[in-house]
Amino acid sequence: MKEELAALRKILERERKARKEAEKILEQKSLELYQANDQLKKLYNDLENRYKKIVEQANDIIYRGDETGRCIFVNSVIEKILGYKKEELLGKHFTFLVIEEDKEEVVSFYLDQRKKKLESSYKEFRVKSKHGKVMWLGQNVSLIFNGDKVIGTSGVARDITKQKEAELALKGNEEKYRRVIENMQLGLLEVNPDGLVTKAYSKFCDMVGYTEQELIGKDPSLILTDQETKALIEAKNERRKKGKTDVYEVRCRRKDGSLIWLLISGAPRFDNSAKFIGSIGIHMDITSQKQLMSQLESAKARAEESSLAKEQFLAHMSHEIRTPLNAVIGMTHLLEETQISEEQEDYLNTIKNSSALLLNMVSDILDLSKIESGELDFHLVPVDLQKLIQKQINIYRQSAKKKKLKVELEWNVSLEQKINADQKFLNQIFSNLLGNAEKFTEKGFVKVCVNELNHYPTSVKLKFTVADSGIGMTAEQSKTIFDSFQQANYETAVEYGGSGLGLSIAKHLVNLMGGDLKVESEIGKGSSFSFELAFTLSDEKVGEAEHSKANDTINSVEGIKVLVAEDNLVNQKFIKKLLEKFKADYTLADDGKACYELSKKQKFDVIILDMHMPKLDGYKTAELIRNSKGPNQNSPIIALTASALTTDRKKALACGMNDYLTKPFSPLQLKKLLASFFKPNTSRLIIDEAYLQDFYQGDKAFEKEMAEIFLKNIPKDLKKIKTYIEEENVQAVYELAHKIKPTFKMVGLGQIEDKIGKLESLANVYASNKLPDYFSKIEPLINIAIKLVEDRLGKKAHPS
Amino acid sequence: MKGIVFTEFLEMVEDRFGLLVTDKIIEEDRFDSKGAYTAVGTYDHQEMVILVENLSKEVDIPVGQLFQLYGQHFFHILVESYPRFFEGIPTAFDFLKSIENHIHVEVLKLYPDAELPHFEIQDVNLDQLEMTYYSNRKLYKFAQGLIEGCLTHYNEKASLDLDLLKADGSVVKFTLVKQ
Repeated sequence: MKEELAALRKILERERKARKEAEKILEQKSLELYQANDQLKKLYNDLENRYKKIVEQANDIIYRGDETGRCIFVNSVIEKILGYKKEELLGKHFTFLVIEEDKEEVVSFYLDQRKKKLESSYKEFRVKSKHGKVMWLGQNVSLIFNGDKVIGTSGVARDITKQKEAELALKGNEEKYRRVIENMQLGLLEVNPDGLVTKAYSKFCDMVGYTEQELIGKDPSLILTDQETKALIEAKNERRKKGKTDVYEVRCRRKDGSLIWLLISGAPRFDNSAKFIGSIGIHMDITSQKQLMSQLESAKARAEESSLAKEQFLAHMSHEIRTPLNAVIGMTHLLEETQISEEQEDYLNTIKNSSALLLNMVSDILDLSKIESGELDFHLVPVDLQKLIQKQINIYRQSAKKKKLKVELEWNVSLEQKINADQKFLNQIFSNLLGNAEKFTEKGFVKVCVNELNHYPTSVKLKFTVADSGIGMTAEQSKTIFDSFQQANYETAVEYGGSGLGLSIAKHLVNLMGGDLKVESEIGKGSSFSFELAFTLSDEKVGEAEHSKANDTINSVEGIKVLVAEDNLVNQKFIKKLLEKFKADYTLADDGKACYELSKKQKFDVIILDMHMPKLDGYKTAELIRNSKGPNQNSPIIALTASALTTDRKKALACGMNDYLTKPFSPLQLKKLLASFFKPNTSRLIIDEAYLQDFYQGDKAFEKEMAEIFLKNIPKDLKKIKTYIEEENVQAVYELAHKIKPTFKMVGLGQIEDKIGKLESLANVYASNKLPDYFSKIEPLINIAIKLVEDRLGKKAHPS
Repeated sequence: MKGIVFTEFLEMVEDRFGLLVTDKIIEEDRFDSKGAYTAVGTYDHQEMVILVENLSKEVDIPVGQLFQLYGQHFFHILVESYPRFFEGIPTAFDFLKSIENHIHVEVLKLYPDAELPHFEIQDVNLDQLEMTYYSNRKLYKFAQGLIEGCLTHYNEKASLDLDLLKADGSVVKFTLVKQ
């Protein structure tokens, strides 16, 4: 018992100790818990503050709603966006801000979210700010659940007014343009990326006769077009996918089976993220235009055919008449060179004039066609007007003599200078008017009257009248007298003959020169044709001989080797005689083939080729020579053609020929052309001492000064001209050539002045293709000239 | 070792063998704890071994058997004190399988510094369970008692075989087969 008591006591002691220790442990644990809790609280507060800060600093409205949809929290952003203070919204229902029109929709949207327990949703709607401004909000709403029950909402709303307005504006624009296009008789069709119709506008439906329901979801190319067109449309749709637009025409079949042509302008459509969402096609019905076009095309083809036939006929006739005429004129020229009596010379002149007249007749016909097609070229040269008219009068005086008609010129003008005019035009006008007057006048007079209307230093305006005392016309007849192929009446044609073209050509030419040809006439008393023309005045004085000057500037062609191919024996003889006269060394070939054979054996300086020859015509011969390696591959070739048609000339140049000469030609024309290809004998270039003596009258200092100026400027200017020609700056070539031209005369090199003059006139008529050739010909000459002047100056400076 | 193992052991010794025996097995001078244990305290597990060895000498029952007995008793204590450990666990096997991932997790919530043995479960089939015990304390007999206590609690019968995978008893495989 004692033992037990002692043990008990010990146990008790141990229990007490254990209890105290346990208490100590508990206290310790309690303290640890307290501290842990404290730290957690701090952490929590930190987090909450951070969260609050984020919420307040957000750009979006952030709020909480209770389970009934009333606001229990909202950040201050609401004030910035909608003008309401936080406090004003707490406790308010979420629909408080929504505008009346959107309220029902918004409420049903969020009821639906609750019903379906959708965790989150997005909705755009309009609200009214405190100041009454309607704004768009885009809102994310999340439901807050407790278990299965919705106990509240949290929302984030953003101000999307600007985006929304832009979107609506864009939509409005789209709608506007769609409406505009719809009202423009254009049919719109929208297709998806697979080419299936997504929308067909009513105008399009009207065009093709299908309803929109019949087209939706279908491939329009299957319904409306054939296989070929379908492939085209598919290709276009592929292009659309690459963002390409297109305009093209297709033939379509309407629902009723009729065919129509549509002009389609197709463009790709993209959504906001630039994804291809299909194409839009704008269709225009061009069926009637298409029909009109095909009618026009066939009409044009017919017109072209008939125009071609006319031109061919003219070319043929021109050739047929010009060839024998060439012989007549040529022989006359040769006859002129022989010893003849005065009487014979008179007859010869008449032959010359008449054949020239006949040639003009042929030219008339050609010219009329050219005038009508607008392809007549203008060539202004200085003309001695009085002399020109007098010459024409002389021609008619011959035939008038028999009728004892007085043909005279009444010249009431004081012209010291020549006028700038197209000599050929004036000749034709007077020739036609005089011929007409002479033809219809049996007795009395034919008179040309020229009066001055005004006269300025650089221009003159003149009135021309060609009057006769002939049979005259009625007022009716006067009206049609200028029409082509019209004569006063049928009887006239029978009695007097003629082509009936003369007056028509005269009128056309007067018109071309800026005037108008009028007629006054009275039956039995005569007719009076009059017109007024203005001319610029040339620097050349009346009376300066044209021919002598021209002759001077032509280089000698003495000794040049010429190969002539001509099948017509008379023409051959004419050319032979001329070449003999020019002292040229010539070889004759009877046809193209012989010519080609000869050209292979020997080098010629120039080859003259008639275009119309048996065996091998001129064009083919020229081609052969140019295309085969031989001594004459690069020799100049001149085309001889009886046809004055521009097309024939073009053809000749296209075959590789260098120039052409139209039959009939004068000896001078041939010599000039030959000379232009023949490299002048430069050693003959000399300074004209006599001229210098005459010009400077012994003032050597002045002469020296001029030579120095020449040497200072000309080499530079020469380089400039070369550059301008390369750049095809024709105007600059013209101006510079004009400027330096007189300088050459001042150093006694008048010969060069004429060459520069030719360069100037080539540039003046914009013959830019001829400039390089010509310049390469005269450039060495000018260099020699410079050398000559240098030498002369050197001699002067250091007299030895 | 957690104090509850000591307090419950000494309570059991008092109940079964009386105050005198209890007092005898406690060597106050030798123990750091001076034999005063509280359930929430933590003590050197060697003291527990000495207590059981001393009891073995007093009552002439082998040490192993005593640990086994105490295991059975201790399981009963767990059932009484921590009913929430057993919520939703319908069978003994389920309970045994959940020791590592459930019971020990719960224990560590109450006693963060508790040093617990490690169990590996090999669930062979519905009627058989293999679990391997790993512990440097080598108290596998205590574990055996606990497993038996568990079977008793669930009123289930199963054979229990021990296989000392390491002779020192630090790794032991228990095989249970339902009967």
